[in-house]
Amino acid sequence: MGESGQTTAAERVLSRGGVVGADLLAVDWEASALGPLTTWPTTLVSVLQTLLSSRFAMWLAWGDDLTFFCNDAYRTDTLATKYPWALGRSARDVWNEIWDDIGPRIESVLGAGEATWDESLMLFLERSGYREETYHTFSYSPVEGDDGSISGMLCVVAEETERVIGQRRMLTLRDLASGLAGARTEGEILACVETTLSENPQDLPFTLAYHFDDAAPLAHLVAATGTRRGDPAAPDTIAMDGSAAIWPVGRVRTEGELILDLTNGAGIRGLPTGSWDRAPTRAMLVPLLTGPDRTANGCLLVGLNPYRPLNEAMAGFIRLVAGQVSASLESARSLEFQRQRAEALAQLDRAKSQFFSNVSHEFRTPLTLISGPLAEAQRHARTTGIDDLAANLEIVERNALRLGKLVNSLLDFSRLQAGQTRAAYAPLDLAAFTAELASMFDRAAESAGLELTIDTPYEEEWVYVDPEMWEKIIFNLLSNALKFTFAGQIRLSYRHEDGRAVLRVRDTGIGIPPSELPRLFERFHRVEQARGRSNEGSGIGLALVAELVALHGGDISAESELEVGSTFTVRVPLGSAHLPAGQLQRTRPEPGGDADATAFLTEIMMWDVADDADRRQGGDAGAPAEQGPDRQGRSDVLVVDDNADMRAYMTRLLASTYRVRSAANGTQALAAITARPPDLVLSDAMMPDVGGVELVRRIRAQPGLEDLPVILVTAQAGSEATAEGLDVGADDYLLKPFSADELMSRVSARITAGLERRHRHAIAELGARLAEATTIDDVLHTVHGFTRTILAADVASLAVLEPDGHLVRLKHFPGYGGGIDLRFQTGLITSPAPIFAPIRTGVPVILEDMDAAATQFPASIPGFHEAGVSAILVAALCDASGTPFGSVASAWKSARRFSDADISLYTSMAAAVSAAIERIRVADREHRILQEFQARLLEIDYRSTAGVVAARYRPAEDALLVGGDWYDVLTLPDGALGMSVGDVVGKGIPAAAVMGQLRSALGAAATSTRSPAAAIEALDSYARRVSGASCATAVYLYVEPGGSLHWSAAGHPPPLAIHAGEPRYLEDGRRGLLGVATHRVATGAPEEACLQLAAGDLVVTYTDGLIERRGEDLSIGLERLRGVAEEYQHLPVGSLCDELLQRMSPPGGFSDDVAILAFRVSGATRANFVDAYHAVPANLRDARHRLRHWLESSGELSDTAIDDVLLAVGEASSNALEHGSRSDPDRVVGVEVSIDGENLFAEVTDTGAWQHDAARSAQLGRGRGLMIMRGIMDDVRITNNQAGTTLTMTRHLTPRPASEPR
Amino acid sequence: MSLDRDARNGTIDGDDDAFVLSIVEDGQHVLVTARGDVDVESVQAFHDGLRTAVARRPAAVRIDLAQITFLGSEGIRTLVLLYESAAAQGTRITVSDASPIVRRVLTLTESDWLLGD
Repeated sequence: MGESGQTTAAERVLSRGGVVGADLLAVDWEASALGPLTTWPTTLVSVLQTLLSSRFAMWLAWGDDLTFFCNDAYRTDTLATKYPWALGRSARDVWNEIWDDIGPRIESVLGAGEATWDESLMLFLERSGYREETYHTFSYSPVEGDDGSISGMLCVVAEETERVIGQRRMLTLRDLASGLAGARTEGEILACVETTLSENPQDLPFTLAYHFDDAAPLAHLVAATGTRRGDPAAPDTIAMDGSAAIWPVGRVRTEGELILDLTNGAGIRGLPTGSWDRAPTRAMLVPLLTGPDRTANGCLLVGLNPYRPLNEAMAGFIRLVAGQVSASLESARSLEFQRQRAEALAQLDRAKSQFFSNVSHEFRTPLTLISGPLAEAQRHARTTGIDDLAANLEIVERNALRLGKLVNSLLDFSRLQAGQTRAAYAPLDLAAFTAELASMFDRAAESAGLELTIDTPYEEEWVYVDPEMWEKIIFNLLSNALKFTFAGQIRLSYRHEDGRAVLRVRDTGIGIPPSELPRLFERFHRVEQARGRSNEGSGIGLALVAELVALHGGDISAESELEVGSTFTVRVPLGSAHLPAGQLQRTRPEPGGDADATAFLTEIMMWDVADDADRRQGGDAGAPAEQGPDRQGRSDVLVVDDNADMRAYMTRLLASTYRVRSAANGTQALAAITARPPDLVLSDAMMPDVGGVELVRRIRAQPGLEDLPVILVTAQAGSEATAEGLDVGADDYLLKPFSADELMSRVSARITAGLERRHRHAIAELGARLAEATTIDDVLHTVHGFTRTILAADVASLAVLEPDGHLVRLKHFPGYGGGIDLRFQTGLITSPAPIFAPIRTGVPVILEDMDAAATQFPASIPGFHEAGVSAILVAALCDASGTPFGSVASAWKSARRFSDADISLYTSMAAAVSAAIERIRVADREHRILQEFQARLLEIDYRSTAGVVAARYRPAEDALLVGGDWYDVLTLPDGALGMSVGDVVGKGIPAAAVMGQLRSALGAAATSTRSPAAAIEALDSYARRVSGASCATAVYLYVEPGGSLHWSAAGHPPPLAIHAGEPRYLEDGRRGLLGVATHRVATGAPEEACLQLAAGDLVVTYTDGLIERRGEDLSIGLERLRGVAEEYQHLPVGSLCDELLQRMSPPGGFSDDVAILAFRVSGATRANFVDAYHAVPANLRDARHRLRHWLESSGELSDTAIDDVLLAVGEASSNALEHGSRSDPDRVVGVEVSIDGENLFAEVTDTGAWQHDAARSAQLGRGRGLMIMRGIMDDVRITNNQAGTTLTMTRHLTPRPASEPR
Repeated sequence: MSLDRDARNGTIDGDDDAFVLSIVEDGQHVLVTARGDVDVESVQAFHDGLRTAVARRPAAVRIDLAQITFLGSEGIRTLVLLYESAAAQGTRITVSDASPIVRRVLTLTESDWLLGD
């Protein structure tokens, strides 16, 4: 302390320096290399003042000993437990552990005077009791001592550890997810895991994955990173009974996740170290859970980064890795299992086919015994009115008929083949008989939307045919035509031609490929991939027809063109000569029952011919209909089947548990999925057009549906289609016939697995989305989207605790009733509503319905009703240490059941949201600091009555509000005024940092010299030592009280002066760019120039952003500026600046930062009145006198108008004096009035540091002062910027209508 | 400029817009005459003078503003506050003979009810 008892400058600075200042005062400086405070150099003291008042984290090393200083931000952000020990010590001791990294940089700064800039540099700090991996972005700049030599080093630093490490982990998770998505087999998965995890040896120094073999019982090593399999740390097998000395893998079964202490090396010599120079001290053992019961079938062991704390972020990361691995392993194992099962079933099926063909006729007996009692039961159901039963029995009946028809066809055919059929040929009016048979298809054709034309003119000659056989021929041909024709007509014609009866069935259907025509009448042959109304069919219909026609001595042929249609032609000889005489009948036999026709028609009605009818009656199929109740948290299942009965049956079964929609074919299904993806698709494998396999393929090709579970229903075990279905990504298949229980259990298992899988992916995607969020609103938006998609939540809210620990800020996604979202924006942490509870307890709130809410939160029930909310989930948001700092809430409009998976998903989401909000809060804080930093830089210290000043700043990057341009106004001794404008290369924060340094340097230089050239010279030599200052430009102007202007410009565009009404650029007094050593050429020309200004003269300085336009010569911009300034020179300086910004702006806005500083000399001319006086009430009356005198001498205004103007300007002035300048006699009020013939412009300016004074603006808005100004002037504007407040007023001088009587 | 000096001298000198205030008491009626500029500087004197007049609890105070050459919003605020506190104690305040400038300002600020006509 000062010997004389007087306080020294150093003492004053430290005593105002807050906590750190106080601690610095407590250091025993006498014993330090720096010596007592009284001996400290002035420059050190002034740097300390900057440092201690800055909210950027900074530290300073001073003197040969590199004595360490820092500020409060650095103390809390970086120094941690080293504080206050570090103060006053040598920086070498303070940062001993990273001296190898930073030492050379500091030497370079001190030696060569070159500043450094490091982004995200990794440094190992020992500030929390252990060596810690950290990342910092920082710059070191040299600081000059009193003698001009470099005496110290200033470091500005921002810590980025969380961001860098978070990104690294996110990258691993993303790579893992994308790699695993392509891996199908267990081998591929494990290879992908090894590759991906080995790419992050920082967070995962080594990892081991073991698969449990319970039979042995042994754990087998299946993947390892950071070490070789078989190394001591990675044994190939480990006994599961706990007898092994190494990893206790078996314990995850009973204890779940474990943290293993490796401080003694876990008994293993040479533990792998990953990226680091030492082995992990801890490992995390996580179970790999598989199977429907989530048992641990393996485990993942991760050696942990020894240089990071084991916090929730790290543990969560490892859990996510393990989760992805186990999910992939599970799906691969299940796929393999399904393949083996399919193969076994295929073999069985081959044996079965054989068996069936042998015994198919045995079906007839049981079918008979079904049909008989069935008819009885149906009658009973109908008479007793049991509608459900009747509906079911109808299905049974239809299918029994169909089965009967199938069996009959098979039997007919095998009899034909065996030559056992004995036809009975009777003479018939075949035209009439054919018409009769064909007309049975009228209704079916109509239902299908087809036109059936029967063209059978009378033929005189009767024809010998077996009537039953002919019937089969007609039925098969017509049903075939109906099946493959979707629009148009079917035409049946009958003629006698050339001694033969000719039957033609022509359709406008899909046609038959030429390659298929030769095999068309082979038995069991079916046209592959044919698009029909149904894929059902045995493939014997046409073969049977051919055989039957042959029995009549005739032939059948087909002609077809794809997409045009097909024609089948049957020709049978007339007469009886070609028929065996013994089988000829003389008359037509008794007509048989129409059972066969019924069977055919029933089958047709079961295709989607029936659907067309259903659709007209508003039935289930057609456009995918929704079934099942909504919003109950029930999963959504889409049933796809071309058979209406099958569809209805599956829908009925599933509707008890799920929301069910149905679709009749693949195309409809895809439309339904696109409209709203279900939780599971249950699809028939064999369907016309888009079949099951193709459906799976198309689903998987759609982004976002990679995980949608699909189960194929198939009748053909082991068929290629089934294997192909699994190959393209079907999750499972169900073999017909199946029981209701089997269907339900398969669907349930797949929905659960699918939900979990989607949840995991959704959380990974959420993390990626949140990483892009830059505001809390972004986070809320993301949360809302996530909860709506995954959990069908209606609205979401976020609550964040203020730093005071009491007030909670709430943000709601719009959607609550009762305007809740607008009314409840804040609350206290102690409030009873559910959203606050987790902030106090950390425990989630789960309210499934209003009964639960009434028990737990009775006080909030009216609020819930008002908001229209019935179910609520709330989870805590916690910081890295696990302390809650907020909550996330979702609400549902109806009651809802929350599964364990829902809750776990929600808390995972909350963890991701926590991290995002913490990151945003840090970024917001940085942004705020930067804004304040710049606001403070751009405040101008204007206390001169030499003239009035206005300044404008417009950064190119609006979001940042900081840039590389500056302006400055300095009040110098003896009433002189200094002004500077400058421009640093670049934009944004880095440029702003350099800008601040140059502006201060020039300000400091200006106070020590009256010569602008000397000030610019000092700035230049400073700029050469500041990294990033090279090629900067600046201009400095010095105005003496008498109006003598001196200036010097370094590479800067010339100031524009308007002297006696004439614009001219101040081209003299120039030198080259700043900070460029080689640029200086001794031209001998003076680097400083001078101009005597007169009252009302204007000087405009600016940065090149104002005049530059891409692709345009700078001289054009200068001319433009000269023109605009000349045109608007009558305006007061503030309005002039605004006009310049507007008129000079390129069409797309300025692409570079723009700064403008305008100055007008005090005094009065014919056009301008310029007055500046100190903010003392006693000055107001004189100021009014001066203005009155000027207004009167202008001769433009009446006496009452002059009184009015004096009143308005008087109000503005007293306002500026009282509020803006707080009657501080050092401050200055500027008044400018000008008249351009039509308008009177007035501007009253103060330089008050008022900008956070909301009360003042409010008072101004309400008060009588503004009423007076608004009453008198036609336009009154109040603008606030860093330079002060300006009241701008305009009055039209033409007589105003409706002027009050005076 | 202070009330004391004005009251003592009862005269003014120099500029015709310098603020001067006089108080004449006539039984239950008090007449306050103000002239010159009422601005940030002089409003304190204006306020003190009016307060002094009202403090004597007269039945009525008449304020003659015929020679006021400037009246800022601070002056109007003083008049309004004084009117309210005077009314509370039963003293009626009227502004008489307002100069055109006073009328203009009171009208602009919707305070012309003070004029009492």
